[in-house]
Amino acid sequence: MAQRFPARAQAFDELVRCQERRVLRTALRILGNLEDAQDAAQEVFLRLFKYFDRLDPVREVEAWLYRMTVNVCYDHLRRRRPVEVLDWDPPLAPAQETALDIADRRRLLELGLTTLSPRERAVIVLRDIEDLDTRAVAEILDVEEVTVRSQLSTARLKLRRFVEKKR
Amino acid sequence: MTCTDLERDVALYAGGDLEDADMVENHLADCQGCRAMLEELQGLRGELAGLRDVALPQVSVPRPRPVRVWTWAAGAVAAGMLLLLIPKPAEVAPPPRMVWVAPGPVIELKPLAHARGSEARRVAVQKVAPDTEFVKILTDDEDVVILWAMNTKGDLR
Repeated sequence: MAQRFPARAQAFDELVRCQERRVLRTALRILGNLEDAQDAAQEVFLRLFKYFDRLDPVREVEAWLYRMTVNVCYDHLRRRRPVEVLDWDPPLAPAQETALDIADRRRLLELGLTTLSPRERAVIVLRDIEDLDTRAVAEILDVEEVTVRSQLSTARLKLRRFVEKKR
Repeated sequence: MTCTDLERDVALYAGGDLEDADMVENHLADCQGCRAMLEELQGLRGELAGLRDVALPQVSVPRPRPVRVWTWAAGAVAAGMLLLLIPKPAEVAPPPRMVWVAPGPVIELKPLAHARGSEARRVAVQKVAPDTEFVKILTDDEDVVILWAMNTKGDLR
């Protein structure tokens, strides 16, 4: 028994070390700010700690962490007051207006993500940023694949329009 | 099929998420506008994928710490010992305090204001001999005082 707990703690630490950037990154893209993402990530790992013994560390943990991250982020978004998206224009010199640099394009995309509904955001984060296939996304979000495709096409078109409008 | 009808399919096709792509591919072959949209969507996907590799600030997620069994056990033992050290509340009332009253002159006991019944009256009129000593017993109840009268031989009066 005495040996069990150090081994468990070590396994948990190792798992957190491997997964914390992924969880933090996913939460950041869904929530849109680092502070909330950190809170969400901490909550996810607290839940992981609670259910750690019941999970298969090889097969289940990754999908479980994505699912938990999305759910925790949904909770955060529900508690958060609605934020009106600002009419944001990247501060560019006139000569650069047609060629946004990489950092500005990223900021534009991040802002565009915040204009999507939470479910559309989750779908696009999991599919296009985390590069999971639609079946995995459907399992994580506990919806049908056809629902994922529908939300995915909507989200991509919304993002495209947003980016086009801001260019 | 118009371009608007196929817009959603093109959005899926851009990520390889369209199961039956024949219709879209046929349309794209003939429609420059939709090909341009496809390129934009594919570029957008590439940029989204790039967000995955953006360096995040070096923040560390606080980790919960497991509590070992022996820690719980030690805590339980310590708590048990503390409980043993706490004095138990008295189960019986403390004995009445006794006050020695030196022998004195004949004392006539006065009836108590709230004394009731024949017993109280009998005690009240009893004359006490000079060789009598009294032990006054105080109780928690201020209204209850026990007087124990005895002579020097130890006989109770």
